[in-house]
Amino acid sequence: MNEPVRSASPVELHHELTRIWGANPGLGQLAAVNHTALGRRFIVTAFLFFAIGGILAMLVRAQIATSHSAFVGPEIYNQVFTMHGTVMMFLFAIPMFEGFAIYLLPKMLGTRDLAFPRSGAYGYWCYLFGGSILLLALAMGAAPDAGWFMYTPLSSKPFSPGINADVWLIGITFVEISAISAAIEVLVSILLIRAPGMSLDRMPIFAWYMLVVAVMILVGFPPLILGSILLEAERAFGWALFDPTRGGDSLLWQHLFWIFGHPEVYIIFLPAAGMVSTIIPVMAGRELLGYRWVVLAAISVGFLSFGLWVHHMFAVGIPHLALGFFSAASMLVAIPTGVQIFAWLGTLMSGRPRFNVPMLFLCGFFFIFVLGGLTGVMVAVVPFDLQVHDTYFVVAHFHYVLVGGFVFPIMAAAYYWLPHLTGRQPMFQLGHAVFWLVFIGFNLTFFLMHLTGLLGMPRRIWTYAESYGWDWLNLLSSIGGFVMTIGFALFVLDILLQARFGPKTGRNPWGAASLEWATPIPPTDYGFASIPTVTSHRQLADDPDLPRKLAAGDGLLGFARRNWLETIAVDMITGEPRQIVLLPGRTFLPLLTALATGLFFVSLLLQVYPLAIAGLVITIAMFWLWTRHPARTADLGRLPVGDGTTLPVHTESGQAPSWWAVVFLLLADAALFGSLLFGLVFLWVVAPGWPPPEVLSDSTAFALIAMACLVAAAGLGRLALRAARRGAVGWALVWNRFLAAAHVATVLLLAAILTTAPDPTAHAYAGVTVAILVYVLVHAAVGLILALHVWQACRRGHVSAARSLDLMIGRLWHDYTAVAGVIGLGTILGVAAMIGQPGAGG
Amino acid sequence: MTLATRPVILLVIALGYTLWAGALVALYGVLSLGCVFGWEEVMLGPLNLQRGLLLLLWLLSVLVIALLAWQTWSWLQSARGDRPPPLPRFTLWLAAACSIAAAGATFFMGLPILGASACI
Repeated sequence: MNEPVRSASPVELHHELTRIWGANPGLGQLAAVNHTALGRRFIVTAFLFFAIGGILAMLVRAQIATSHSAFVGPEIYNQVFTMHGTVMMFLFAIPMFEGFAIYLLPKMLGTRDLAFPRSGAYGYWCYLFGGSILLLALAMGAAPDAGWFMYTPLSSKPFSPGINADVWLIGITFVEISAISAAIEVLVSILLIRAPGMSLDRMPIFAWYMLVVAVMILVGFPPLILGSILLEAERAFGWALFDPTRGGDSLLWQHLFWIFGHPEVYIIFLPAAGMVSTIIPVMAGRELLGYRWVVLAAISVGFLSFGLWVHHMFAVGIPHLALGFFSAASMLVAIPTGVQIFAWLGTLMSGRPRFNVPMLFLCGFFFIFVLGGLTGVMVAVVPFDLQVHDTYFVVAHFHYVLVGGFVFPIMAAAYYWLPHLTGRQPMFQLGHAVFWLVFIGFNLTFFLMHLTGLLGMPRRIWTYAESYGWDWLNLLSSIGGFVMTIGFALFVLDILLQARFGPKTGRNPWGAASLEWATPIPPTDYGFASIPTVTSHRQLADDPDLPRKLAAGDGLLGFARRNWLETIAVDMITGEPRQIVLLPGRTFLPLLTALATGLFFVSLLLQVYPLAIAGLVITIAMFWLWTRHPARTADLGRLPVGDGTTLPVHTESGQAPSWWAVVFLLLADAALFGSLLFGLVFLWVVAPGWPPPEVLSDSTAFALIAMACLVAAAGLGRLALRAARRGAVGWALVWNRFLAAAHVATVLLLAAILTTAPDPTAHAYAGVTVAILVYVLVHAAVGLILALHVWQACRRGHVSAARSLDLMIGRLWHDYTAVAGVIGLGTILGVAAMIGQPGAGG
Repeated sequence: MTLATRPVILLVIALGYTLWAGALVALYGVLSLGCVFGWEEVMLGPLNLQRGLLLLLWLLSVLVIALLAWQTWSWLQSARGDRPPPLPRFTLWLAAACSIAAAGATFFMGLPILGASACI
């Protein structure tokens, strides 16, 4: 095929690409799916939530500034501190770094967009709507009030009879869709959607950090999602899962929460560390010292952080030896963290640092985060932890870690990348005043809390007696909090002034070497007019004229072809070009799908279940509409990309981005399933009230047939794929029909087992058993939907020997469903058989 | 070099720490089961069944991850010759370094087995 005709001039190319990639004005902006628009939205929305969380913090400080305060009562106070933690963790920190990642990564990776723009947009709307549910509840006085970690039994129905806890469980689960979708999008994009030549060792360090974080989200969030579903099932339907009088255990919630909750701290810290690792070399005027050691440290922190969850539970009565395992892991994580700190310090020491506003915030980060890390090692020591557990010492510690490890780097990042976002320079030197107000205010607030905690002040109390001697410390902390708030208000003013009135900036104002500064500033919707070929770690430093060349279309894909949104996917190790990825353009589908999903969640919250089912069905129908694609109806073959190279489009490639997305989705799915199995074993071994009065019986035959059907479905999926690859689409349709029948049979068999299963409200055993059955049933039902989709694709001519991506994705799902189904049903049968034996139980 | 081929090398990079995580969960699980089923009361020479099992599991985990570290290190060494390596040296270094770090982490994590009380 001939090379496409290039535009006559860079300006003409810009106009053509803007027409294809840009959003329409007015309400048409709601249809924008490109990463620049979405990144900005995430950042701005997260900052608004930060402001709300900050106001809530001020209310907390106003209430406990003095003893016997009558500012707010205990009911409101409980809502305020619960929402402060919830907003800051779920609605500010995670979306903020997601926003930066979505905005920056494609530009740093030298590509035009992330792998799944619509998924990113859907995630944004889920985040906005889920967060809005929580804020609406706060405005109505029905916000969550059981602490941001929602410990049972306090959050269980008998002790929290209102809707407050349901708002948390359902609202946060809604928001977590955003985190999961962003994690998959970021992971696939970093691995596949990079500039040609960008091998793993040439990847920007921020991408390495985000790669680790994305995997952590996929493994760390599902346990909390599962816990939220189980707790909501207990609250809404009376299931017995966390109730010790019915074979449940409150500690199960703590395990599920902290398996998420501790990695969450590092999920928040690592992106910030990635920004620090990006900014420090620029400010020091040299490359990052020990690039590969920093990568090793990031990976090590990512893994080790999963071995720390029990250090939040040191005081619940776990055996000393188990505490020893987790205490050791808690100390170990300090080593890779230290490696990063020394790499940053070494970079600064061996360079010629510039002390500007971003650098000031980085210095603040070093000071505060290192102090937080040191108190972290202190609370990792079990005897010390037992002394300060649940006191303000812990509050001080985690604020030093989170504000030091996230807010200060984010402020540095904001000042560093603001010229990129706005195309303007700062007007005044307000940033210095912002730094000192926030730095002094923060330390005044939180350093004193260490002392308040050592004097014995417990967390979450709404008032205290004068005789305890905590007044002066609390008053100074509150004054510090308000000083810090003035600093943040000044920050907002500084940003607005710069964005509105700042003088225009030139390209690459900091003299950075990374590719995000090679885009037009402020960035266009398409990012790069043409895609660079990367030959070094510091492409922009090696070729300062690169931005002009790319804008002139001298890179790859420097043309507008058939109104397609094109970018390139590469080999994940070497960075050799592999596929042309055709991305979807502007569409309202993500917004509409999120609205339907919102209908589902709000109906669940209000317990209007028929409407919830309607929301679910509409959501599925909406997702079905997402599958329309311009390259589905005919084989396109290899297409030129601009330098004599030809590549296949992703729909005709072996392992397209969407195939990898399903692989990573199944990783998250497996983490949820593993947590469910852990729940069953944990309750069986640890919980009181076992063995249950009734076990699953007379279902062995049905369960075995269902397992056989699942295995058959997996086999049929393979046969259908093999037939499609041979070009025998008719045979693919035949095998696909049998596959659909196998899934229908599985659904019916499992439904039949559910009708005879023990009552899940009677005992936790029954609750977990029914949960596993429902899990397998849902997977079979999704398998059926995928089979129907393949049927439609075959009938419409979307499948050929070259275009078998739908069947490949289906095969992945059917294989996973078979494995999970056999394990799940086998576990149920095995446990029932063992519990049925006399003398078995916990 | 057989395993060190793309993209399996990404799994190898993660394998050491994945085994570390498996060892942690297994040690915690065996400890919990042993306490429930009274394995501390069953004596096997100088050790009770509980501690003996934990020691065995710990040392086995360290051994397996150490073997992985040795293998990945040998891949890295073999890539130092004049011939171009089958994969970027960076990825081989990362696989070796992650495996060595995971072996060290597993060893350190299990040290409390030598002293701490198991079921109190």
